[in-house]
Amino acid sequence: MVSYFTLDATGEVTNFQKEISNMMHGFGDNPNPNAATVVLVESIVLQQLRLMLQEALNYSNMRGAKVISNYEIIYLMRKNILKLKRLHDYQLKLDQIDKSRQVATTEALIPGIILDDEKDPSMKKRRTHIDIIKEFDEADEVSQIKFDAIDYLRKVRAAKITESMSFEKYEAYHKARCASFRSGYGIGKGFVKLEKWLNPTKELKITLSALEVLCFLAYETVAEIVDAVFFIRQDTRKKNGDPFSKFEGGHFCNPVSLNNAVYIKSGYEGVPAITVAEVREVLRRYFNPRTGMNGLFYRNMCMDLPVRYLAI
Amino acid sequence: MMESSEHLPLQCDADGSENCLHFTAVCQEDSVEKVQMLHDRETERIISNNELIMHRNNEDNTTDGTRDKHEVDTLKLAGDIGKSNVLNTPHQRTEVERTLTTPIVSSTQSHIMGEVSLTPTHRTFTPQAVNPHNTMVAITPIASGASQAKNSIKLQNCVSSVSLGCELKLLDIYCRTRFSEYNPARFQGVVMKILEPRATALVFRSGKIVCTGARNEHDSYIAARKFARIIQKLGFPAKFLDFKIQNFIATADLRFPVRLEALQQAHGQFASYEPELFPGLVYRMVRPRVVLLIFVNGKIVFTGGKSRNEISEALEIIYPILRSYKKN
Repeated sequence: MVSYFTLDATGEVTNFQKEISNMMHGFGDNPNPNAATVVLVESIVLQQLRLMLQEALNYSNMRGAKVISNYEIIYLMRKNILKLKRLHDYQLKLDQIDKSRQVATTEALIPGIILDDEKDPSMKKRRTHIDIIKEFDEADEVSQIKFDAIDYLRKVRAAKITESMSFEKYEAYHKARCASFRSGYGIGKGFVKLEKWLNPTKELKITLSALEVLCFLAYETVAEIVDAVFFIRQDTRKKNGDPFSKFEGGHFCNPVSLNNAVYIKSGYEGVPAITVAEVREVLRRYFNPRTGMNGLFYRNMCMDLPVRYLAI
Repeated sequence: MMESSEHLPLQCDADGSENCLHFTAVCQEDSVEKVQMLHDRETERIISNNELIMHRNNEDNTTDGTRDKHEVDTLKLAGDIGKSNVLNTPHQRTEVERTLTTPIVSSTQSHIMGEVSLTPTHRTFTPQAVNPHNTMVAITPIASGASQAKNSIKLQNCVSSVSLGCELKLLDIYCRTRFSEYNPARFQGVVMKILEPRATALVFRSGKIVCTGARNEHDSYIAARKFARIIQKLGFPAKFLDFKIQNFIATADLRFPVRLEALQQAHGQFASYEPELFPGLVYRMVRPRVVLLIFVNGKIVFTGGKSRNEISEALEIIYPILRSYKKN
């Protein structure tokens, strides 16, 4: 990924390889993910985000806006209600974390006790993703989703993985899970690196809230790829004549089978690193046209969703 | 000897570990005599519990059997005593047996007989095979994990609010005080600081003060009074109305790592753990209404508690929960 365009003025390469490698570890890959895979995943994420930005730029031009805001990015996501719901929750969590962090830091102002007549300008509403989601979601479908299955499965997998880990390994795993595309927690400071990565020449004007959504989508892209790799690994274990053989691996998490928890083994040590071929297979499955019998039960049968984005 | 016999019974029936400790301390400086006396008591108690042996001993008393038989009986008694207490190491016992043979034993006997009428006169009851030191278990006070965690609670910050009951001219206050900041564009209040106790106050136009940065409630109160006094000295008719502690921020250390994933799974409705957003688990306790930030290394930050009690209560509730998600 080292090229003329990814070099900034200091000669430092902006890449997210370390973060992506940590994320993959966090999602259940081997503690030392394959370097080639990491580079491939990074390029996929970058490409995806740039495509999104391009489309968002078109929309913002159509709207007559000067900058790309979170409105345009969320507009791209409008068809995928599950992801809208996840973004909705994402904002809730971020707000909650901001609040508790602010209370925890000694010098911070406490919003609850800045008493009625003082309106604190620093505590004004900063994230608007939920408002925009509500605007797009006319049938109010997002609020009807009560259960975030994607999130649940990822958490179950993480819990299973950590079950038998030694403390040293767990500490490393925890550090890996803390990786994200933001470099800080506050809304202002966290996205410098991400913006430099996506938009090295600063030709696009992207608002911070748009970067926050992009950060979410980038993380989601990596997660989708790793999830899908585990999914296709089930198929590779398939034996002829044994319909359940594919569930023998350590990665299958079917919520129904969680009750007896037979199929989830806390296999962690033996997880082979995700290979380039597996990622390519994931991409092939995502992007091949689902027509004819293949697409009968496909969510996007009418091709009304953009298939270019893994995360949306 | 007299004074020792006076306070002996008291220590004998006391079973608390502290008294035991005290007793052993007393005994160590004294001779074996006192030990002997105490042990008489001990045997009495056991005998009263165990009528059978008592009966047999009485028989012995009447028949005045051979010395050997008595010794056997006493040994049996001693065995009973030994059974009644868990800690009884063999080498200590031999040491006692050695003391048995010493002539001092008989001399103590006579003393006891003179003073305590309840003491059985027959010598069957007097010799002992077990050192009463052994029958008393000196429990060194080892704090349990929960109490250790509780002791590790450290208040970090205490936020209080008070109303001065008058309108304030913030610019005036800013211009006439040291260590104050006023930047209306950024925050519409004067930020004042004092050094003793080290605290920061946010002073608002309506006369309300939020005092933060003090380590405990007392410091917070003192600091708030000082701020009020400073403002009063500037010529405002400041009073000191409804002082209230708004928030305690405390930290605690559990000294064991916690598996946050499992905790999140089990307590999904209270806990939120998103490591990519924040490395700790945010646990919203309902009663007491405290928010806990729990970290992998076993450190906890409490926020939102209105009193010390609430924080220790929250720790008491959360400790057994976290204990079950300990990572080894």
